[in-house]
Amino acid sequence: MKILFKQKQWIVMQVIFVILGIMIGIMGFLNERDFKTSTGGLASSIQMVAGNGSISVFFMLLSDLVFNVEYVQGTFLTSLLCGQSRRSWMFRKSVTFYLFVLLQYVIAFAVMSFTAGMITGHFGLEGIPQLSPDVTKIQILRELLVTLSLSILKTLLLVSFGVMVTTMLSGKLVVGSVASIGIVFLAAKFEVVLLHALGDNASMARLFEAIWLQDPNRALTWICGIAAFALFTWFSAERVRRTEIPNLGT
Amino acid sequence: MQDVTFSFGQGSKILNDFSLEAEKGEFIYLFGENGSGKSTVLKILCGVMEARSGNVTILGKDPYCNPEILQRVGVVVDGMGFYGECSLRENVLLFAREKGLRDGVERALDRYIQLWDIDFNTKYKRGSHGMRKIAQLTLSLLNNPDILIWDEPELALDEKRQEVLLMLLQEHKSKGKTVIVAGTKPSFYGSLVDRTVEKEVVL
Repeated sequence: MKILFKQKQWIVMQVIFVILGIMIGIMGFLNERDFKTSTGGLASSIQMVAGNGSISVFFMLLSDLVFNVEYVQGTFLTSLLCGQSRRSWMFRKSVTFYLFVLLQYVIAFAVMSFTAGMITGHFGLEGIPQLSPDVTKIQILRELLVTLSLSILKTLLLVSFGVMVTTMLSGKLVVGSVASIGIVFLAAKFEVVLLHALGDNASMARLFEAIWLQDPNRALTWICGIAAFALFTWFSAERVRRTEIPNLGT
Repeated sequence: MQDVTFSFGQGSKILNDFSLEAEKGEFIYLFGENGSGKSTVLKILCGVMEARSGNVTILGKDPYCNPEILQRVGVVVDGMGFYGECSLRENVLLFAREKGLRDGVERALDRYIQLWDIDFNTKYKRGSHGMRKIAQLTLSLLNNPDILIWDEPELALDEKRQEVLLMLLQEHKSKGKTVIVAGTKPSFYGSLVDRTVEKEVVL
């Protein structure tokens, strides 16, 4: 995993999260100026993460790190020559990468909270919308944890999709991660068009809700998320098993 | 390998019923001009490429279906790489673990570092072509393999390291172990070579 933190893509990601932190910090600062309500860095980050899932899409930029970077720099071949089977190598790399993504998620959260807090002058949960008085703190915490867990699952799902696309484009750095992000955006647009064409069909809307992991309180959301994540991971390993090694000659 | 045929995709054949058999303790030099398919032969022999037809076995097993057999083989072929941000030493130790090596690896590595006399603390991306080659050769030797499969190992090495290379090959051969080296200069290996096999371009 240490190697993953040395990659240039990782450094670029940190810069993106610092910039995001500055942006949400400025928003919080403007809110305080206009509406006299203070916004904490942590509150801003939670709202950002629990929002529309755009944070998860950023993580897809790292998809190349699992297979394609290793394929291009020849370390995949070196591992094979050390007696590793392709499928178990890919599973091992995927598990390490998903752990790395989880860790990066926490880092991103901390970076954004701290940066935003530096701007607003508050680092806590100030500015979280007030709930009715009969809602206990434990209920709020539970809600928060469920939302964050779903956001993490969504991130892992999108990243596993990105990894799968990169394994189909072996040797073509960046193309796979950009293509997978493009596919996600196009699919979101397609959903809007389809729902509009079907006259806002309720069952279709529920299906899309499950596919996009939007409702944390429905079991179908979690089942869909975990199943798709497992499927993409398995498919990536299958692709790697069939990937041809090029002969570059000396 | 016996009657092996290979081509990339639907392209022209690179190997056409090619056979190569090595006895225990034999030093085989696979000779052929550029583009004749020597590297392809070695990669098929290691199981990283799959033959379209024919049989490939190494130490009694098909390496494509049983990749773990390579833990008993030392391989250096083109296209191998190490992590650029890690030192040569870190890389060798990391991949040695992938070979299943644990105990005594550092001690064995120190012996090779002394022999080669290069700085293994250099980052791989800052290392010269020769240093990178030496690191790969070292990794292939660490597991005290039964068979060595090397593609033009002398390339990029200076005279001093070429002498070390010959000494290591002599040492390996004297233990009754097998060596298969591919290249274009059989004379470099002199009396070490027991048999030269020519790989001709398939027309």
